[in-house]
Amino acid sequence: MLSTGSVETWQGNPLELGPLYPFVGAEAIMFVASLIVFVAFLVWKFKWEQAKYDQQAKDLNDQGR
Amino acid sequence: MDNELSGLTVIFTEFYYWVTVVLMFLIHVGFCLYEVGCAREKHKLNTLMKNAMLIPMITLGFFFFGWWLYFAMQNGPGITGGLKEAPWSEPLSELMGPHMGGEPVNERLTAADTATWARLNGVFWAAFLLFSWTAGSILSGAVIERIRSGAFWLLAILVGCVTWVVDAAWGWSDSGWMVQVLGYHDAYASGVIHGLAGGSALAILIHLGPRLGRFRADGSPRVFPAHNVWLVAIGMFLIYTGFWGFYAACNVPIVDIDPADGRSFFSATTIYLTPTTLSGITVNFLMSLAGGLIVGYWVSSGDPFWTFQGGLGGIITASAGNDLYHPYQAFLLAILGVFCAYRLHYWVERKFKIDDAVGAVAIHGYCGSIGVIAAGFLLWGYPSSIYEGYAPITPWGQLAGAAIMFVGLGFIPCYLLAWLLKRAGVLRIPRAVELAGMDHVILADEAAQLEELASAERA
Repeated sequence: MLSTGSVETWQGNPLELGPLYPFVGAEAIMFVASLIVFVAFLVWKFKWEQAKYDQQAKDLNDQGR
Repeated sequence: MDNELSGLTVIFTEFYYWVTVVLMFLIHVGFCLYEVGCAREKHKLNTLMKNAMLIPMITLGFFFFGWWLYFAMQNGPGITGGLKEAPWSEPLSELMGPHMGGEPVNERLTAADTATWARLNGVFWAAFLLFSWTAGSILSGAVIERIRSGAFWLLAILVGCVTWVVDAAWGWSDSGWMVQVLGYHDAYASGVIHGLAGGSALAILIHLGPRLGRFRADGSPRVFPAHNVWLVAIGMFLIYTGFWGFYAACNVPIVDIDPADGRSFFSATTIYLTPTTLSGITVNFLMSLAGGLIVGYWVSSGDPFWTFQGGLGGIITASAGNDLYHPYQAFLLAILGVFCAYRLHYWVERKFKIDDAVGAVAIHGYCGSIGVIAAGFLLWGYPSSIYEGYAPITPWGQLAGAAIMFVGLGFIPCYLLAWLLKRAGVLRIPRAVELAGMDHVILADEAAQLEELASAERA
């Protein structure tokens, strides 16, 4: 049977249980994926903010404010 | 976990820190309310989002590298040793996820690591993370109404995930080099959080500059009245409430402090594993709050802003030694700290044209640093650690520690990053947007929507 985790039963000796989450051993892939989201969000934020303020400043200047 | 006593001790400790984390969440709620209340109407939504989005930014940074830095950097490195091994705190560690404490999968971990950290790593991480949010949030209030959120988040990540963590490793751990060499003592983080964050805020403010219209031609400051004093008041009360959790989180709840010769004596301890009591620190917390409120009210002739800030500053001033002070000492020290910080705030403001919108540099930076230095005199000669060979607490050790926190790890790194951001043109919003308000587009849209609704209702 397909299993994503190392836990086969909750009836055994708890001292033999280690990590409970699925895909143990894939931490590096998950780390890289999360790091990409983190960096990409910051890059997007800087670009979006720059474009937004440039546009707002232009509009306000056009309105003479 | 193989008998009832060890099981109860571990699970009690796990639950204890979980409760502190929930309480400390209120600090962030309080900071958000407080800042929004202080900001003017035209900036309030941006002010809220700037601070609220600090939560995911610092959380991810702290998960990726902040927690590891805390353990790895305790020797400097290069002062009392090299980088410390701490595989349980690394971002790829199985102990960063749910774990029952059995045999490790990763060969770099030992059975002792998993047995020790399985139930405590997550709650310790979270408690430190909430300190990190606080460090970032302290900056947030000072810079309202003109900083760009992206730049602020980068600065908050620097402080919340790097500089405060390194100073905690150095001076707020049982084997940090500052504790060993300087006898540094800062039980409830006067310097490691507040002094550092205050120094960081001051550095950013120098590059950011004052809000438009802040200073008159003669150099005297204009007042920007809080747009909602009730948000300010509730925010401050929530910060006080969260501060209880902060104090509890700075303790280790149950430790055998006398394991020699088969004896046992269980006590709460500080982060340095030196004994203290929740009872004692609770009294000192309240007495320093009382002292701060009194002097804040007194020097400002009853101004609510400075009265509430005074209460916070009082606690911050006494925090370095509140594990050991008598309540009168906590009370009187709070008075001294808030009085000096209030005077310094206005002197620096007028002299250097520093526009600190919420008095964060004064209440956190000056009160925290004064508190660290004062602890050197009041606790002169006390052992700084349970371990033999560590330097005792001294005025010069504390003075050096306060300088490392405020200047070395607080002011300098943020000064450099803020300078870079300014050079790149991404630190401050455009002048026209500042004049119109950071929310002017949202407010205009909202007005149009309301007008459309009103028309629809009339039709």
